[in-house]
Amino acid sequence: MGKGVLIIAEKPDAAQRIAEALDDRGKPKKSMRRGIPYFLASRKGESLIVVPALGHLYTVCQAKGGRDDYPIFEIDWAPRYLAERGASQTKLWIETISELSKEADTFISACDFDIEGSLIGYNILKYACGEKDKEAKRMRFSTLTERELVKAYENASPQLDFPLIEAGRARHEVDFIYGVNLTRALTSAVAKESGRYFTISTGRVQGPTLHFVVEREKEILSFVPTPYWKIDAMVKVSGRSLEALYEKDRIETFGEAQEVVEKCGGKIGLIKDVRTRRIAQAPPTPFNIGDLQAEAYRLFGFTPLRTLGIAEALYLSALISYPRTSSQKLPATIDSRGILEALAQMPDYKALAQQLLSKERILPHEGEKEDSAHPAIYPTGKAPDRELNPSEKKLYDLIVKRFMATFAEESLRESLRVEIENSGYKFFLQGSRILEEGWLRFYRPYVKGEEKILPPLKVGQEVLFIKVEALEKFTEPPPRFNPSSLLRLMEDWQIGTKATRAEIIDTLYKRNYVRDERMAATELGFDVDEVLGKFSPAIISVDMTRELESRMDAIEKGLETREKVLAEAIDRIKPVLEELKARERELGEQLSLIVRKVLQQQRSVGACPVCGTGTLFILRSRRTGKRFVGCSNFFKGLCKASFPLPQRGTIKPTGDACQGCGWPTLGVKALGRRPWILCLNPSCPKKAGGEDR
Amino acid sequence: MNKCLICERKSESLVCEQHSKVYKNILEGYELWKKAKGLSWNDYLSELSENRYAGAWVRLLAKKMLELGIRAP
Repeated sequence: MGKGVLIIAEKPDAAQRIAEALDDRGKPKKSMRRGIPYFLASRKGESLIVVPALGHLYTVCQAKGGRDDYPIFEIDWAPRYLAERGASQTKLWIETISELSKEADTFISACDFDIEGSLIGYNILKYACGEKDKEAKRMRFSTLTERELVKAYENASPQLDFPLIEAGRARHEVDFIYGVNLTRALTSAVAKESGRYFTISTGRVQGPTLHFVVEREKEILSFVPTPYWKIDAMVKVSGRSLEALYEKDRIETFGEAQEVVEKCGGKIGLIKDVRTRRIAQAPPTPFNIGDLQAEAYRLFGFTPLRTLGIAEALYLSALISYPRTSSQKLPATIDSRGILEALAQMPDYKALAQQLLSKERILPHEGEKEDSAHPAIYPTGKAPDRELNPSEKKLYDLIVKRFMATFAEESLRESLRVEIENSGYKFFLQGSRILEEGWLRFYRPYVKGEEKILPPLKVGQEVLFIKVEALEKFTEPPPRFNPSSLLRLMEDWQIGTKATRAEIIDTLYKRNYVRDERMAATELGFDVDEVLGKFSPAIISVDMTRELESRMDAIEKGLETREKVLAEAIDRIKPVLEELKARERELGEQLSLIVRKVLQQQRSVGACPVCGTGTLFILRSRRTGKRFVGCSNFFKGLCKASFPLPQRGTIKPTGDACQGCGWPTLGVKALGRRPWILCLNPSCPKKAGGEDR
Repeated sequence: MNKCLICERKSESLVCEQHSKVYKNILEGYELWKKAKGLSWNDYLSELSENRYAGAWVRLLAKKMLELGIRAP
């Protein structure tokens, strides 16, 4: 008897779905080796071993040198457990896959069909399975449904998708070279100047992304508003009070605004014209990942990273198609009618799906964007086989309704515009009503479709102006980015990929470069951006990273080689690193100031409640080495306030005042104890027997 | 050598290079405010220093210019 077929999946959930789909009885045997799950299935007399990866098991690392050396241009691929801290579990996965590969003579990569998935499968086949990358086949699918998985297995490509793999390798290698070298250059400059180890990270995409936020923040901080006036008018007509719009949206001078008020207030106007217009609104286009992230943020406040995570979970449950797609198209091969028939079996969607099924032709209103690997995001029609959590329910409903809306008819709205003349000035009444709901019916409650019905009005009719006021307004600064709008901007500038953008935004938060949902650059973010801009503007320039993106896209299309693009990338970064090295001392001086400021902020507890003028800091006694809180006025001989602190665990100022006494508070985390909030006031009324919360 | 009125870095003029845009915006804004409301320079700075739509750097600089009695150029 021959050996079996080893199928590599990207994650455990996907492995189980694949095994269930391919097993003749739909019941593969789940086995474990070293705690690593895999599935044994049987298909038409063949033995299948379906084993999952755990995302990337291999990573780029430097070929030689220490962890502080830079520049590093000689790189290699290695198991993650050898290259990264905290990745020790990947050793067991690699060893298990390696052992299982010896029981197989046919190899298939069934990882997600995109750059990352193709690379995950390739690395495992090459390194863990012993150079099986050259003979392995590739399953291509966009959903984890049985039908599609069986089809993908039976029609597997005879070889791996090497252009995608090469593009993936190039992307990881270029990002490593940029990220590691730039971060080391900055960190080492600080260490040499101040003796402190403080990571200041940047990267090929991170630098320009932070720059977007900083530039917007500068625009807001430097904004000078301009006054203008808006006319607030109400008219009484046919027994109803209606808002009338003045002909100018903005009046630039107070004098002109006053003149309108004086001449029109309390006067009778005359209807001069009544016009109706019909407006057809096309259905929305199917979701790609960017559209889904933007809509989920608008409707539910989900960050792009959260949306991606939820969408991944829905995909792994075979409820939706692969979400990391740029496509806004739904090809006929997905069998939209079949999906609608399946949705018609679900009580929540039955009525709407049946309406669509009654149409003779079911054609989606597609967008322009394409993706060679996957169609737009769509529901598979499979009923959930587990209870969805509230967030998953929301996102799933949004995806289903958007999918249905794309097949619906246009909506038709009639707008009414009534022109009124008063003392030589023009005012307008505006109304609108929906004549045909079309797609709006399918996309509710995610679209409102509001109406404003006006009473019957005719030319020559008199209208009483019951209110005419001038409201002083000011122009407003541009809005801060939120994670969704920043992601859109990255898309527009074509930096990062659909798989990495959300993560890069998250990194800006983790590094304390930005804060709040309405993204404001922190002082640290400002300083890092400024220093980078001064010492190597190329790092924060969109142009350099965008050019690299287009070169990497060329690899994916088979138009360019990885080796050439990597060499070009090194040629670009080399002079930047040389400049940083040459000015290391100057760079170190400036960055050390930033680090000192950050560390001081981290130690600052708040205003001293004893003297009222000093600031409390977490300090360490030179004599005993113990930490305590003391007032900055101590050295001026003005305040002797000091408070003891727990000597174990980590302590961070909360920034919040105690609700009992208003004194500053600290958060304490110690091993084996629940984290608690410590109020510095020894006589705080909230403390019972000296205990804190 | 003076200090920038906004960030206190060394500067040849009222504000450093980094904050020169703020100063420029305040000067340019005055022309629009004068036309709109007929305000004097001091009244303009006073209103600007308290306007909630004005950027924090603008409010700070307007306040300091007012305190220092800096006249319109």
